[in-house]
Amino acid sequence: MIAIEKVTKTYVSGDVEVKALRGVDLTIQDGEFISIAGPSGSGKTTLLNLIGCIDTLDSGKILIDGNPVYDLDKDAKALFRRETLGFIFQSYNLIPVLTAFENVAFALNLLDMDDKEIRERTMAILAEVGLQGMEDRRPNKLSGGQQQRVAIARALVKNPKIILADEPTANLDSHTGEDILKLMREMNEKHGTTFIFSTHDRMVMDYAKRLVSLHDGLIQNDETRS
Amino acid sequence: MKGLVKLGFRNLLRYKRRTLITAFAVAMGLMMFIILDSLLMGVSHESTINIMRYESGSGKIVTPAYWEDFKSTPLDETLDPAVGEKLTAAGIAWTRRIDFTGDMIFRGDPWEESGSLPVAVTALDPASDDRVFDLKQVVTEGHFLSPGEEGVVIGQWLAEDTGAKIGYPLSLRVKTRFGSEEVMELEVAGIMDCPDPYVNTGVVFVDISVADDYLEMDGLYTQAAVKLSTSPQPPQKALDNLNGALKGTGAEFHKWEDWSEDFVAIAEGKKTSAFSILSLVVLIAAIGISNTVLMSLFERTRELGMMRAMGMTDGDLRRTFLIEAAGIGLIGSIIGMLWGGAANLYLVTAGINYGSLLKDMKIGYRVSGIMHGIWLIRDYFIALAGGVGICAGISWFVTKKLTKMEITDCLRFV
Repeated sequence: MIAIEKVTKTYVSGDVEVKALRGVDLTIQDGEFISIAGPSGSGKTTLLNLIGCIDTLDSGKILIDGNPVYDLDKDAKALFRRETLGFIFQSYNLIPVLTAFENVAFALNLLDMDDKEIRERTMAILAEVGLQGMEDRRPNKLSGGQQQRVAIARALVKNPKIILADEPTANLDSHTGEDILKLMREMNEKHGTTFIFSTHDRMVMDYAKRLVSLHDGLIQNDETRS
Repeated sequence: MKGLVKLGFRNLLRYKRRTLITAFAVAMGLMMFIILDSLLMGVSHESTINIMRYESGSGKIVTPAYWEDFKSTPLDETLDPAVGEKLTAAGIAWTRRIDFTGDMIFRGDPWEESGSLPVAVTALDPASDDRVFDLKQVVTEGHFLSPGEEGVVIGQWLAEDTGAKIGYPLSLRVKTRFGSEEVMELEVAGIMDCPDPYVNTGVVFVDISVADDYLEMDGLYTQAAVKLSTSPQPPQKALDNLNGALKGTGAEFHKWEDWSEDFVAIAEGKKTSAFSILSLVVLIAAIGISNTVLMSLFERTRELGMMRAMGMTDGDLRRTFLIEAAGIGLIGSIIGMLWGGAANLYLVTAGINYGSLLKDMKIGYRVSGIMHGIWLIRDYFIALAGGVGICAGISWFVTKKLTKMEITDCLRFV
């Protein structure tokens, strides 16, 4: 469970202060498929970054399974992210010099698993996301949708507790974006992994089981769907 | 973390042209180090051999009073004749010598020009000189001195400078042991092409019995040159034997280095030169690698942000760059070693002809004509370890910048 309590975050850009989050309270249960929605500048990426321990909060608390992750030092946060979190980025951020297989295996290499297990798990997840036979292709030989599938496989392969996806379909056409969302939801249901994704796309919001709307750094609406 | 080496080497191939340019810069620096060190060491080695063959042997025995003033070659500080007897009894190869100075005067027929010039004169014993020195072997015109012959042997460069030819008469104005002036009337008996430019340019050799008469030495001599070994560092056993022979004679042995301060000084300076070249290599590698790593950092900032977000520690990330830089260093080192080896092959076999330059410049080295390099295997190890080490070390410092950047800034970086 993720417990977010009165979290604030302010950015300073030159002389301008931008209050990205103004005291956000939110609880996310294990296995949820939740969308953080809102217009540009509403604070959704900031909230995702704070949950992902890649940014520091100004005040408040973020507890993951009761652990105050915001309090960890740099290396402990890296270790926590490595073991517990998966990331999916808008622009995929695959490593261009590695093949699809190697990009996915990269997440397991970080965990120092043995080669046999890495191979088995990587091949299995690539098959699950529909990339069987494309393991040896480098990112530049894959379409945008295929690259995002690799990114999803990379996030899922280590069986993380939480997957954070920042506008995962923003760079994809609507048809491919829908495919990706279906895949994410399928994975959520199959593996029980908590998916938290940010978006301002209506179609993406429709796929969420729970929709949290942010506006000017505050939660405006929190709606659970069937 | 697993896969770091693979990732590092894949990244190395990502920008092939840049990798090669940086590696070439490193290779160029290492090649310079290899060939210059080879040349300096080669010249140094050849100089040492030439000093031993043509100037000092393994060293010379003199009295302590002579040694105190050896630069003015005092004729009154003679050795006890017992020294020679003891050296012979100990089975040591030795020969007697008298060094002195004088003015070489050449005028009248058949000289084309008249003049005089100060020269160093060495009186040698033709019967025993070749036990220690190789002068006899480098006589190219005329002949080497015979016992009692009133002639001189001079170097080719001195002959060229004065226009001397075999049979030409010349005078040596000298001071006797007792300080009076004397003029030795001699003729050119031999001209030698000595590889030692000091000998070739400014030393006149005369027979010791002839010099004895003119200098009023009464059969005495000031130096006993010995050959203990062909190596610059004679075995301790030979030194012990020599010291045993000299015991109680009051004479002392001074090694060849002691007689060639100028060479020793420049040989010491060579170490500084080698260090300067190495510093230059470090600088070239530092600029090249810093530039390459910084460009990689900027180009891959988002990718690196992603890796950090996924849980890669700063240490792992820096190690990736370290492997990349070490890879560039390795490529540069191998190319540098190959280039250096090829250039050195030329230096060892053909060498560089600096003859005319060295003739007019007394820089301490005893090499005339061609400077040869030598093979220094240790330089190739230094090149390999240095190239890889320097590149890896520099990248470690440069990538510190990355760890100061927030992950979110990395991910937003365009």
